Amino acid sequence: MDGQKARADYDVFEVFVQKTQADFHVHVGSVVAPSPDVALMTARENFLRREKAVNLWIVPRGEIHATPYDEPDWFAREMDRKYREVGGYSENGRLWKMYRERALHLEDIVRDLEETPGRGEGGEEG
Amino acid sequence: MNVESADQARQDPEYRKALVELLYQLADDELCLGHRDSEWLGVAPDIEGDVAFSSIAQDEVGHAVFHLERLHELGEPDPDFLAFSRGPTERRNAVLVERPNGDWAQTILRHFLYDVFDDVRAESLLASSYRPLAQGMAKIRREEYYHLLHLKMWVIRLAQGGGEARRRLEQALAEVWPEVGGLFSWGEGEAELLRHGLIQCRSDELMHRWAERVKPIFREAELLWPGLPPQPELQGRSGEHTQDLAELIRTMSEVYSSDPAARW
Repeated sequence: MDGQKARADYDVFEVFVQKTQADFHVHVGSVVAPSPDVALMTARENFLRREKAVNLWIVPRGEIHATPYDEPDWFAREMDRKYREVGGYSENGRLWKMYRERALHLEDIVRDLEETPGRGEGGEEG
Repeated sequence: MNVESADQARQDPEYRKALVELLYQLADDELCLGHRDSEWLGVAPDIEGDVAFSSIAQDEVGHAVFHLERLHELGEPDPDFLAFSRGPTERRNAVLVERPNGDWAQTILRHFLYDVFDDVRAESLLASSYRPLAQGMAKIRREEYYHLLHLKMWVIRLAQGGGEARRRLEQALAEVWPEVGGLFSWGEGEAELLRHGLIQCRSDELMHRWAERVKPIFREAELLWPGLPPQPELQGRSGEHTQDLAELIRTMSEVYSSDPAARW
């Protein structure tokens, strides 16, 4: 009987691993443990036997508040939302890179000036 | 004077002899306890603890491998042979770590008392004249940090759990204590080890440092401090062992004995 009671006192703890200081904590699974300190101890060996990390979080499953699976309208996206998409920004990155690379080559700028008719001749037509 | 490599150590037969004796003590302690830990695989109190304890077992065996490789560099046989083919009288582990696990409380308490000792011993070897050993101990000690946290947590939990847990822990203390003293011995060659600077700290000093670390945790666990451990009946560091070690070796080397070239 004692054994059964002790087992009933175990909680589920969700485990989050942070691999480097620059990373987010990522959910990797869960452990069953009688207390948070035991959960931290066993999570370390159950999820980090081979991989490196800098930090561990354990969170009692009961403390996690989640959306319901049976209300799909929580995530409804029915209308055209192209206006929210940010595809243009990634193109900006490429363009900036191109302009910056071109600007860095002084000879190219000089050649560009020399080869363009009407430039570098004192602006006769101006 | 520091010795930087196995080749240098081999040039001084007296130095090499003392060093080899020391490395066997370190290797055999870790190998025996690692094997005993591994016996919990599949039968620990819960699955998470099972995985954690097995991982600790692998760490201990890994540390044994480090010492066995250092021995091989010094001209001793290869690590597998040393692990599996030496008889009990050639082993230099303390008798405490060859004993069967007993129940979970006894396993935890013995491991905790050993881990504190192992840390104190490793700390004292950081200044060893044999630099490959000193450098290895610095790494091993970092891995042992988590073991200590883990075992300390378990001792406190069992002690504060009351009821059956506490009763079993107190029983374990009574059973384990008479053999704890064997850990601190540096064997018959202690004077030589000191003279060569291989160790910096005598065995009685080692025991006192250990006691100062264990006492506060006993206080936290509200366990009665039984006084310094007595001298054990058998000197494991001199090759005196129990039938338990013979059986441990037989089990551990079952595959190796049937086919020394087997890969597994």
